[in-house]
Amino acid sequence: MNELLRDTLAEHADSAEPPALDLDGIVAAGDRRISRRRAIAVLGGAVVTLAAIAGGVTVARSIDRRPAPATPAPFAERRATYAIGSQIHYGKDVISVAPYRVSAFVQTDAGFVFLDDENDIYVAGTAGVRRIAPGRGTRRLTADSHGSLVGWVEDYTDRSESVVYDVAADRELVRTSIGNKRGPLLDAVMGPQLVAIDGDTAYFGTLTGIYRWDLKAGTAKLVADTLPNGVRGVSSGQYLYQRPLSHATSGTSLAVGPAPSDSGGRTFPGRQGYLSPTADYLVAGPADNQRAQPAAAVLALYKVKTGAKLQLRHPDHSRLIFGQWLDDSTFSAVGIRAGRNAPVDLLTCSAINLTCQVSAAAFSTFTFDPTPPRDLPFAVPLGAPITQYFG
Amino acid sequence: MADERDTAGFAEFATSRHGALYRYAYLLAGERGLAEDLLQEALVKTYVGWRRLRDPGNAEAYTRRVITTTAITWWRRKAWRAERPHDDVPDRPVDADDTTARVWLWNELRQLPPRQRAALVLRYYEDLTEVQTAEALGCSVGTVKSQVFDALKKLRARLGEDVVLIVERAGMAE
Repeated sequence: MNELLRDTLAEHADSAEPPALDLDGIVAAGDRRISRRRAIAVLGGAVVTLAAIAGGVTVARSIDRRPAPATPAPFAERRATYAIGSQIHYGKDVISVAPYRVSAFVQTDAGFVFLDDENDIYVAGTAGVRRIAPGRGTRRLTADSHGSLVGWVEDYTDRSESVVYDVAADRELVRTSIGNKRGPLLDAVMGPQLVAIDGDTAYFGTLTGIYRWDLKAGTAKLVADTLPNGVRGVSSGQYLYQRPLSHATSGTSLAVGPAPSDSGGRTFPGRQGYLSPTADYLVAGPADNQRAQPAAAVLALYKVKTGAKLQLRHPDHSRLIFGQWLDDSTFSAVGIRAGRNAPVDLLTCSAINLTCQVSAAAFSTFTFDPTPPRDLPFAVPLGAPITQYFG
Repeated sequence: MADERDTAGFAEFATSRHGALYRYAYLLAGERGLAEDLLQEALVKTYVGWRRLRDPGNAEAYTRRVITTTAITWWRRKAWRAERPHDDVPDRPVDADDTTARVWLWNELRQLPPRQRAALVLRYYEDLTEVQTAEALGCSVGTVKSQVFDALKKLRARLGEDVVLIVERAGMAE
């Protein structure tokens, strides 16, 4: 049995007949990635330079966690809100962020945080518009249902960094690369993301799993070995996560429970979901990661405690795009009317009355920009643009 | 998009090295479907980076490294370990000699973490030196040594110390 290892490897290698080479498919997929990268402009030269200046070293650190000074919270009220171009329509109020264009945004009590076309991060508040971070590959913002914290992920050549920022205090609370060190060749199928901020806790979806970060103590704990988006959100300590957690893409259903696991919690159909602030209600529906995210879909409303599906009525709109929870039982959504390039309405839906009222009629159309990154003309406070990837 | 000259160069590289790269992916993945996925993903990345690579020699090393790092990333996802089917029937008959030992060893190899498996494949199938293996894996020579040592130790523990798994060749461990 000399050379048993070499013989075994050679034998199996010889037995493996390669499949036909799908050259057209490889080139087409590669061209799509090149187009997307050019459009998104991730990791430009400036970022590389900054990373080099920083010595490429990132140490997990918490920065000055003293509470923010007591100031009025001018945007504590959540209203049905959308953004088009340089305007954020906050209920009946219109906030201009010109000359910038809003590609994605979230609401905090201290102001709206938005990404512009360059993925720079800005705050629009009572004092006007100010930039709080340069674009470093950030494509998604995350905020709590109340409070002044916002989070995002920045990309560098050898790592990504999770950032939590206090808008009211105008300072970073956390900047860490925990779970997000990577080799220069790693091109993860799914990039890191800041999954949720829930009170004094932030949840980082990293390349090595989901970390729970205690904002007061500045400590982290790995809570799930899953994809960066394996946990979809956290509200009042309840996790909304994919089931099974180990699924290589995005799971086949959702679950809600006090800890992400493949055995506990209550299961719900769907792949995109949004927990109410008290985790009493869940809006969930199908998703199509290959086409548009977040997908316009037939969304269903559930009572989490019982798992009961509530018959929400919105007869004029077959599909919805979730907006945000306005309070513990009311959420906003974009209603898609039937027909190609049809107008869209902003809706306010009640989990108590089980009805949806039109808050802003025909405020835009469901028409994706034909040029990359192929976003819709409007944004809702989900923190990410609504993008069509394929087809 | 890549221009026509780039695409033609890539097509020539992919066509000529496809078989060897697939066999490497198969030895890492231990399963044909996964090997196809690994190779497809690696070739897409190589195509995207083709303008930077140019030299086909660089391209092959780059593609192997992408196969390896992608395999390691996928391995971390439990789904790979949980869902991988049994696929150990070769396309053509194996020799009668040592058949049982080789079938067994193949199954044991598939249980190794991909970094250890990659180290063994690069060292004992590709016949790379420790230095070359370290370059291919993007790690230190010391790490390669420890990965190979740990992997062989596990295999010997299962097969028995009296079995010669490997005969080191002159000049292979510089």
